[in-house]
Amino acid sequence: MSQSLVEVRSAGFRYATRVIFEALDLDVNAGEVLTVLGPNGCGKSTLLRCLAGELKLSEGSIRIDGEALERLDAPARARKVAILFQEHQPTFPFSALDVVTMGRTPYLGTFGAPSAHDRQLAEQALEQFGLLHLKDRAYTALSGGERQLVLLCRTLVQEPDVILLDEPTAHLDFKNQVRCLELIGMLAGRGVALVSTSHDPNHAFLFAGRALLMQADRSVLIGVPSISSIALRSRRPTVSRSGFLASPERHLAKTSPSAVPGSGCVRRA
Amino acid sequence: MRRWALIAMILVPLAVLYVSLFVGRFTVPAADVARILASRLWPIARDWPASAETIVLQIRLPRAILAMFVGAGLSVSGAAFQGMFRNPLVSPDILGVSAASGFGAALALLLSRGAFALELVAFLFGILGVGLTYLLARTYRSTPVLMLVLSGVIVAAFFSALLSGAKYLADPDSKLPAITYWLLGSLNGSSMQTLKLVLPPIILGGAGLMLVRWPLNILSMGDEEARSLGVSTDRLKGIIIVCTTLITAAAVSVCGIVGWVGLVIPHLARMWVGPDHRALLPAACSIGATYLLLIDDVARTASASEIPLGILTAIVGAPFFAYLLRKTQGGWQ
Repeated sequence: MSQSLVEVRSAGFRYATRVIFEALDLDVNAGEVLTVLGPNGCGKSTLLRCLAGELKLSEGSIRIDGEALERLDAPARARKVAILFQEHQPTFPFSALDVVTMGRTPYLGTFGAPSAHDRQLAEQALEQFGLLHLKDRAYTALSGGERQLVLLCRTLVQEPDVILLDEPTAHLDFKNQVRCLELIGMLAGRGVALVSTSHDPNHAFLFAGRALLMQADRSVLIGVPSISSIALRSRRPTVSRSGFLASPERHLAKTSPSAVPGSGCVRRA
Repeated sequence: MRRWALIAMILVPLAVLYVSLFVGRFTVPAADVARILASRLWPIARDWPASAETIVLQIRLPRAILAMFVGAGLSVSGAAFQGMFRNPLVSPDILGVSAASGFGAALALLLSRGAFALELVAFLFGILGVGLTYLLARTYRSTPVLMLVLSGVIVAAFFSALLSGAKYLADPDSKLPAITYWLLGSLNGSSMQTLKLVLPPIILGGAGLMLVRWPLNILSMGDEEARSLGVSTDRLKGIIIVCTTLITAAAVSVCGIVGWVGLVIPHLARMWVGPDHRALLPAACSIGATYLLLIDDVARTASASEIPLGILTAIVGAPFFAYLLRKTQGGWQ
């Protein structure tokens, strides 16, 4: 059995009195890609920031690889969890290689600087991602897609247990979307647990993993998505919960991906 | 390439330092300067006038060394702040250190307490000003960059008002010109004594900044991203603010408000070695030291009476910055 790298127990988060989510239980296993779906403003990014330790839960707990998230200091946390934010505003024209090398920071100590070995790791990562030709380019001068791939590459050298991706394919053209999703699959293949937000339901099928649906009414559904449920949802927004996802865990037990109608084409990542 | 840059970083300021020792209204031949300096290390027959030795060792050398450290200190502080605030228009006095120091100095001049008291009071007020800014910016146990900038504006405005008050109360025949002249900036009062007072905080702050060059790269990617890469951003910001404050408060306390150096030199350094703070901070030190040394040479030789430093740095700095702005269109590259 795969081990659970992310354990969320009865978690809730609210901004002042506005509840974003509550009573959330979630496990993400090594090698799994969990897709978080939902309309804009439903709290997908907030959930990711909670999982990254950037925001503190109002209630409940998060354990990463068995350790309570809030007990970890910044470097220890960064060795376990990497996050790729949706908005990244480049400022200084660092070379792509420098940007990837930044992923080694949690291993360096307060006054440390990357060694030749760290640089080498960064170069290897660029090579694995097929991005070595970009290494000396200013990453501010790269296209949005290339920049996103470079930042994704940075999460690889961070060697985390969990990678959180906030809309990783937003603003990317089709070719780069495909490459980005391939790389995500590759990361999952290495035993990393990934949580990726998206407002494109199709992404939930690519990795044959489960999806978590956050709805405007703050209810949360987890399960393996089926084509019919998604189609239903898009036509009739008021469809019942169980109509949307091959719903919660009890249902999940009897639905392996291939058993779900229409998802036979999905291959395991 | 990198090696040559490193050699240039060390040799150019030293060469300019040497030139600064024999340039001036009292002519000392270049060869004599070399022998005067050498005589401190080896016994050499003294065939130069005693006045030349006094001028080189007691006046020009301390002044040149001070110019180098102040120039380097302000530039490295500016570079660190521009990285931390992710903003090209930031200078070391963004948190109100200059305004607060200026008021402290005016207060000391008003009370006529002598040069030592003036430097001490100006230094302490500079630290007080930044301390106030930091406390004001602190929210929910963190210090967002925007809060820091706004708090800095408030504190600077407050101390500027106090400074105006001090000027208003000052005797217009004696005290007011002294305050005004001091604020324009000058390295005139430098001696070995001032060096002993001012160099320790500048060196301490500079060394601190050199230690966090790599984390500064990460911080320049933004607070949230830096935290996700394992940097304790609030602690790092605290370190940077303490270091730059030590440097700027010390610099302002001894030579008044020397603007533009901390704003323009980091840009120049970035054009030379790129944005990586590991190379940028040493480059800023080197260029800043050279620049202020040259400016000070002009200040003390160009006319019969000394030209205040603050005027020269802005007269040279502003057109250069205008050129830079036009050329880069406000961008970073």
